[in-house]
Amino acid sequence: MNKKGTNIILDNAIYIVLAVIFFSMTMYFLGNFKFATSFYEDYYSKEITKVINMAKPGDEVVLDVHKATEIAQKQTLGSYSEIFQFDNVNNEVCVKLSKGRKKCYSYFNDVSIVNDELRLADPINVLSFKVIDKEMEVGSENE
Amino acid sequence: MNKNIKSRRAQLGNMTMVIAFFFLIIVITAGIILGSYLFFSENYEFREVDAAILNKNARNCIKTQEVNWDNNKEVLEEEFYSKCNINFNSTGNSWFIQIKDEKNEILNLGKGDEAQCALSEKNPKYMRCVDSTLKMKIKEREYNFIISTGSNQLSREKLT
Repeated sequence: MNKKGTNIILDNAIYIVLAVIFFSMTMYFLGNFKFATSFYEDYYSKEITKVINMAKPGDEVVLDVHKATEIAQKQTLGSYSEIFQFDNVNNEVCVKLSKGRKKCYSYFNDVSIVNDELRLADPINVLSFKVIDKEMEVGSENE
Repeated sequence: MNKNIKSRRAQLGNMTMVIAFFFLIIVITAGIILGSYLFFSENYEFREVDAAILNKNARNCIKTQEVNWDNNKEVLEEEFYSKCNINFNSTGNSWFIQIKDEKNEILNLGKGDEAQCALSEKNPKYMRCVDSTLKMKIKEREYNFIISTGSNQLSREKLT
C-alpha cells in the first residue's frame, strides 16, 4: 500500500518537475520581450555605434539615455555602470538592460572611447564619453 | 502469475505516458516561444545606415587624405586603413569597401561583392549597400571613383 503511494507521488513529481523546467525556460525567454528590453538594447547599441562612426578624435559626446535607465531600473539591473560598456580592443559597444545578457555592436572607426560616464538627473539621464585616437590611448596608458 | 504480468503491463503504460506528456509540453513551449519570437524579435534595421556612414567616411578620406593610388594592392590596403582610420578587425566579415576607377577595381576591403549588393532587394538577409561617385584630379590624372560600401552586421547577444 505504501509502495503504491510512493509510486504515485514519484510519477507526479516527474510531471511537475518537467512542467516547471519548461515553464521556467519559457519565462526566461519571454523575459527578453518584457519592457521591449531586447529591442532597446539593440537600438542603443546601434545608435551609439552610429555616433562613434561619425565622430572624429577629440569629439566629446553627450547622449540622452533616459529611456535605457528607466528600463534598467524596471528590470532591477542593480548597477547603472553596467548598462553601457565600451570595448576599445574589439571596437565594440555593448548595452545591458537586463540581467544575464547584453547586446553588442561593432564600429569601424578606428578610435578609442574614454571617460565614459552615466550622469543621472542632469536634468535627464545622459551618457557622456570622449572619442580619441587609438595611438593617444596607448600613449596615455604608457604614461 | 497472470496478475503480476498484468501489473507490469499497467506500469509500462503508465511510463509511456511520460513520453506523451513530454511531447505535449515541448509542443506547447515551442509554440509559445516561436509565436513570441516571430512577433517581437524584428531587429532594428541598421545595415543601410552603417553602409552609408562607411561610404561617407571613405569618400571624405579620398577627398582629404592623399592616398597614393599607384601603390600595389597590399600597400594600398594598409595605407587606406591607416589614413582613413578604418578598422575591420573586429568583425571583418560584416563590412566591405570597393573602390573602382571607372570599371577598374583599385581596392577591395572586407568581405562582400557587388552580387550580394544586387541581390539585397530580393533577399533581406543579404548585405545592404550604398554607392557613390567622386570625380577628382590627382597628380594631373583624372579619376572617376565609384565607391561601393556594404554592411551585413547584426547585433550580437552575449551572456554575462
